[in-house]
Amino acid sequence: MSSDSTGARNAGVNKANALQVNIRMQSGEHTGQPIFSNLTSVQASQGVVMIDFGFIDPQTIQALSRLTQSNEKAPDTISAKMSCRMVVSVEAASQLAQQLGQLFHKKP
Amino acid sequence: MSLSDPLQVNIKLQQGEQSSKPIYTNFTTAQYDQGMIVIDFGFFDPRLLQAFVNVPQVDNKPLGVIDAHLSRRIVLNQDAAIQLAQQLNQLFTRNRDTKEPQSESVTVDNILPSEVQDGGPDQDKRLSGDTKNGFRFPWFKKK
Repeated sequence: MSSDSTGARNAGVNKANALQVNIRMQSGEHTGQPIFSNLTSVQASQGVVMIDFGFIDPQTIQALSRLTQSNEKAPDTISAKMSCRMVVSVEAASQLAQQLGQLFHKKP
Repeated sequence: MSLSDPLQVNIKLQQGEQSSKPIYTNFTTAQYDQGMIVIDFGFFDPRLLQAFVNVPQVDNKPLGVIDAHLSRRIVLNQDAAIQLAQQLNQLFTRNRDTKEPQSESVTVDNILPSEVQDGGPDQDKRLSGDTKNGFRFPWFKKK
Protein backbone atom coordinates (compact mmCIF):
# COMPACT_ATOMS: atom_id res chain seq x y z
CA MET A 1 0.00 0.00 0.00
CA SER A 2 2.48 2.49 -1.12
CA SER A 3 3.26 4.49 -4.17
CA ASP A 4 6.25 6.14 -5.71
CA SER A 5 7.51 9.46 -4.63
CA THR A 6 6.26 12.50 -6.39
CA GLY A 7 9.41 14.43 -5.72
CA ALA A 8 10.39 17.28 -3.57
CA ARG A 9 8.16 20.09 -2.61
CA ASN A 10 8.60 23.40 -1.03
CA ALA A 11 7.93 22.51 2.50
CA GLY A 12 8.45 25.00 5.12
CA VAL A 13 9.57 28.07 6.81
CA ASN A 14 13.13 27.87 5.65
CA LYS A 15 13.38 26.08 2.37
CA ALA A 16 17.12 26.40 2.06
CA ASN A 17 17.80 24.68 5.34
CA ALA A 18 15.13 22.02 5.28
CA LEU A 19 16.04 18.47 4.56
CA GLN A 20 13.43 16.54 2.68
CA VAL A 21 12.68 12.88 2.87
CA ASN A 22 9.79 10.87 1.54
CA ILE A 23 7.64 8.92 3.92
CA ARG A 24 5.98 5.82 2.57
CA MET A 25 3.03 5.12 4.76
CA GLN A 26 1.95 1.52 4.98
CA SER A 27 -1.38 0.39 6.26
CA GLY A 28 -1.44 -1.44 9.55
CA GLU A 29 -3.80 -3.92 11.12
CA HIS A 30 -6.33 -1.45 12.39
CA THR A 31 -6.28 1.00 9.55
CA GLY A 32 -8.26 -0.85 6.96
CA GLN A 33 -11.45 0.38 8.53
CA PRO A 34 -11.50 4.13 9.08
CA ILE A 35 -13.13 5.34 12.28
CA PHE A 36 -15.85 7.94 11.97
CA SER A 37 -16.03 10.59 14.64
CA ASN A 38 -18.17 13.66 15.19
CA LEU A 39 -16.71 14.78 18.48
CA THR A 40 -13.19 15.61 19.55
CA SER A 41 -11.46 16.50 22.77
CA VAL A 42 -7.91 17.80 23.10
CA GLN A 43 -5.77 17.96 26.19
CA ALA A 44 -2.08 18.48 26.81
CA SER A 45 -0.22 16.09 29.05
CA GLN A 46 3.47 15.66 29.83
CA GLY A 47 4.93 16.71 26.54
CA VAL A 48 2.29 15.09 24.38
CA VAL A 49 -1.17 16.01 23.21
CA MET A 50 -4.01 13.58 23.76
CA ILE A 51 -6.76 13.71 21.19
CA ASP A 52 -9.94 11.80 21.93
CA PHE A 53 -12.26 11.04 19.05
CA GLY A 54 -15.81 10.28 20.04
CA PHE A 55 -19.18 9.67 18.54
CA ILE A 56 -22.55 11.08 19.54
CA ASP A 57 -25.66 9.64 18.03
CA PRO A 58 -27.00 12.32 15.68
CA GLN A 59 -30.49 11.58 16.96
CA THR A 60 -29.36 12.70 20.39
CA ILE A 61 -28.20 15.98 18.92
CA GLN A 62 -31.52 16.45 17.13
CA ALA A 63 -33.41 15.67 20.33
CA LEU A 64 -31.36 18.28 22.17
CA SER A 65 -32.07 20.76 19.43
CA ARG A 66 -35.81 20.08 19.69
CA LEU A 67 -35.74 20.50 23.46
CA THR A 68 -33.99 23.80 23.09
CA GLN A 69 -36.40 25.09 20.50
CA SER A 70 -39.37 24.21 22.66
CA ASN A 71 -37.73 25.93 25.65
CA GLU A 72 -37.57 22.72 27.60
CA LYS A 73 -34.70 21.93 29.87
CA ALA A 74 -31.92 20.02 28.18
CA PRO A 75 -30.02 17.41 30.19
CA ASP A 76 -26.82 18.61 31.76
CA THR A 77 -24.81 15.66 30.57
CA ILE A 78 -25.11 13.34 27.61
CA SER A 79 -23.07 10.25 26.92
CA ALA A 80 -20.89 9.62 23.93
CA LYS A 81 -18.71 6.73 22.90
CA MET A 82 -15.00 7.29 22.67
CA SER A 83 -13.89 5.82 19.38
CA CYS A 84 -10.19 6.27 19.66
CA ARG A 85 -7.56 8.00 21.79
CA MET A 86 -4.46 9.23 20.00
CA VAL A 87 -1.35 10.41 21.81
CA VAL A 88 0.39 12.83 19.48
CA SER A 89 3.77 14.44 19.96
CA VAL A 90 3.50 18.19 20.48
CA GLU A 91 5.06 19.02 17.16
CA ALA A 92 2.96 16.54 15.25
CA ALA A 93 -0.11 18.07 16.91
CA SER A 94 1.09 21.50 15.85
CA GLN A 95 1.52 20.15 12.36
CA LEU A 96 -2.00 18.77 12.44
CA ALA A 97 -3.37 22.16 13.47
CA GLN A 98 -1.55 23.73 10.52
CA GLN A 99 -2.80 21.08 8.14
CA LEU A 100 -6.40 21.59 9.24
CA GLY A 101 -6.00 25.35 8.99
CA GLN A 102 -4.68 25.04 5.46
CA LEU A 103 -7.44 22.63 4.60
CA PHE A 104 -10.19 25.01 5.62
CA HIS A 105 -8.39 27.90 4.00
CA LYS A 106 -8.01 26.00 0.74
CA LYS A 107 -11.36 24.24 0.64
CA PRO A 108 -13.89 26.01 -1.62
CA MET B 1 -32.39 31.16 24.12
CA SER B 2 -31.65 32.64 20.75
CA LEU B 3 -30.12 30.79 17.85
CA SER B 4 -26.88 32.64 18.36
CA ASP B 5 -26.48 31.20 21.85
CA PRO B 6 -24.81 27.84 21.70
CA LEU B 7 -26.38 25.09 23.72
CA GLN B 8 -23.93 23.98 26.36
CA VAL B 9 -24.04 20.37 27.40
CA ASN B 10 -21.50 18.27 29.22
CA ILE B 11 -20.49 15.22 27.27
CA LYS B 12 -19.34 12.13 29.07
CA LEU B 13 -17.05 10.09 26.86
CA GLN B 14 -17.31 6.40 27.55
CA GLN B 15 -14.34 4.30 26.63
CA GLY B 16 -14.77 1.42 24.27
CA GLU B 17 -12.54 -1.55 23.60
CA GLN B 18 -10.36 0.21 21.07
CA SER B 19 -10.06 3.48 22.91
CA SER B 20 -8.79 1.99 26.14
CA LYS B 21 -5.31 1.71 24.65
CA PRO B 22 -3.95 5.06 23.50
CA ILE B 23 -1.92 5.04 20.31
CA TYR B 24 1.22 7.14 19.99
CA THR B 25 1.85 8.82 16.66
CA ASN B 26 4.54 11.18 15.46
CA PHE B 27 3.16 12.46 12.20
CA THR B 28 -0.18 13.24 10.66
CA THR B 29 -1.76 14.05 7.35
CA ALA B 30 -5.15 15.60 6.68
CA GLN B 31 -7.15 15.55 3.50
CA TYR B 32 -10.57 16.65 2.37
CA ASP B 33 -12.75 14.09 0.68
CA GLN B 34 -16.42 14.33 -0.22
CA GLY B 35 -17.42 16.59 2.62
CA MET B 36 -15.38 14.70 5.17
CA ILE B 37 -11.95 15.28 6.63
CA VAL B 38 -9.72 12.23 6.66
CA ILE B 39 -6.90 12.36 9.18
CA ASP B 40 -4.16 9.76 9.08
CA PHE B 41 -2.05 9.21 12.16
CA GLY B 42 1.22 7.47 11.50
CA PHE B 43 4.40 6.41 13.19
CA PHE B 44 7.91 5.80 11.98
CA ASP B 45 11.08 4.92 13.84
CA PRO B 46 12.93 8.16 14.61
CA ARG B 47 16.26 6.35 14.29
CA LEU B 48 15.67 5.98 10.58
CA LEU B 49 16.11 9.69 10.22
CA GLN B 50 19.63 9.62 11.58
CA ALA B 51 20.83 8.15 8.31
CA PHE B 52 19.77 11.32 6.53
CA VAL B 53 21.05 13.91 8.93
CA ASN B 54 24.57 14.19 7.56
CA VAL B 55 23.74 13.57 3.93
CA PRO B 56 24.08 16.70 1.81
CA GLN B 57 20.95 17.62 -0.04
CA VAL B 58 21.09 18.61 -3.69
CA ASP B 59 18.50 20.86 -5.28
CA ASN B 60 16.01 20.25 -2.48
CA LYS B 61 15.47 16.73 -3.71
CA PRO B 62 14.30 14.20 -1.18
CA LEU B 63 17.14 12.32 0.42
CA GLY B 64 15.36 9.02 0.54
CA VAL B 65 12.29 7.16 1.64
CA ILE B 66 11.31 6.22 5.16
CA ASP B 67 8.82 3.49 5.78
CA ALA B 68 6.12 4.42 8.23
CA HIS B 69 3.05 2.72 9.54
CA LEU B 70 -0.41 4.12 9.38
CA SER B 71 -1.69 3.75 12.92
CA ARG B 72 -5.23 5.03 12.60
CA ARG B 73 -7.37 6.68 9.99
CA ILE B 74 -10.06 8.94 11.42
CA VAL B 75 -12.88 10.39 9.39
CA LEU B 76 -14.40 13.58 10.79
CA ASN B 77 -17.35 15.58 9.63
CA GLN B 78 -16.58 19.21 8.94
CA ASP B 79 -17.97 20.49 12.21
CA ALA B 80 -15.84 18.11 14.21
CA ALA B 81 -12.76 18.95 12.15
CA ILE B 82 -13.30 22.66 12.74
CA GLN B 83 -13.77 21.93 16.41
CA LEU B 84 -10.52 19.96 16.48
CA ALA B 85 -8.62 22.74 14.73
CA GLN B 86 -9.98 25.27 17.23
CA GLN B 87 -9.08 23.07 20.17
CA LEU B 88 -5.53 22.57 18.93
CA ASN B 89 -5.11 26.26 18.19
CA GLN B 90 -6.40 27.16 21.64
CA LEU B 91 -3.98 24.72 23.19
CA PHE B 92 -0.98 26.14 21.37
CA THR B 93 -2.07 29.72 21.84
CA ARG B 94 -2.46 29.14 25.56
CA ASN B 95 0.92 27.47 25.81
CA ARG B 96 2.58 30.18 23.77
CA ASP B 97 1.12 32.86 26.00
CA THR B 98 2.46 31.22 29.12
CA LYS B 99 5.97 30.82 27.74
CA GLU B 100 8.51 33.52 27.16
CA PRO B 101 8.82 34.48 23.53
CA GLN B 102 11.72 32.74 21.86
CA SER B 103 14.02 34.35 19.40
CA GLU B 104 13.44 33.29 15.84
CA SER B 105 16.41 31.29 14.73
CA VAL B 106 17.13 29.48 11.54
CA THR B 107 15.95 25.89 11.71
CA VAL B 108 19.06 24.37 10.28
CA ASP B 109 18.12 20.86 11.18
CA ASN B 110 14.57 20.92 9.96
CA ILE B 111 13.71 17.75 8.18
CA LEU B 112 10.68 17.88 6.02
CA PRO B 113 9.00 15.06 4.18
CA SER B 114 8.47 15.89 0.58
CA GLU B 115 5.58 13.51 0.32
CA VAL B 116 3.66 11.20 2.54
CA GLN B 117 2.58 8.24 0.54
CA ASP B 118 -0.13 5.75 0.98
CA GLY B 119 -2.87 4.28 -1.03
CA GLY B 120 -5.64 6.02 0.82
CA PRO B 121 -8.91 7.11 -0.66
CA ASP B 122 -8.66 9.84 -3.22
CA GLN B 123 -4.97 10.25 -2.88
CA ASP B 124 -4.88 13.02 -5.43
CA LYS B 125 -6.66 15.30 -3.03
CA ARG B 126 -4.32 14.74 -0.15
CA LEU B 127 -2.88 17.75 1.42
CA SER B 128 0.70 16.66 1.37
CA GLY B 129 1.18 18.35 -1.92
CA ASP B 130 0.45 21.68 -0.41
CA THR B 131 3.45 23.91 -0.55
CA LYS B 132 2.89 25.31 2.92
CA ASN B 133 2.55 21.91 4.47
CA GLY B 134 5.77 22.00 6.46
CA PHE B 135 6.77 19.36 8.90
CA ARG B 136 9.37 19.20 11.56
CA PHE B 137 10.04 16.04 13.41
CA PRO B 138 9.67 16.31 17.16
CA TRP B 139 13.14 15.16 17.99
CA PHE B 140 14.76 17.88 15.89
CA LYS B 141 14.45 20.95 17.97
CA LYS B 142 15.00 24.47 16.85
CA LYS B 143 18.45 25.71 17.70
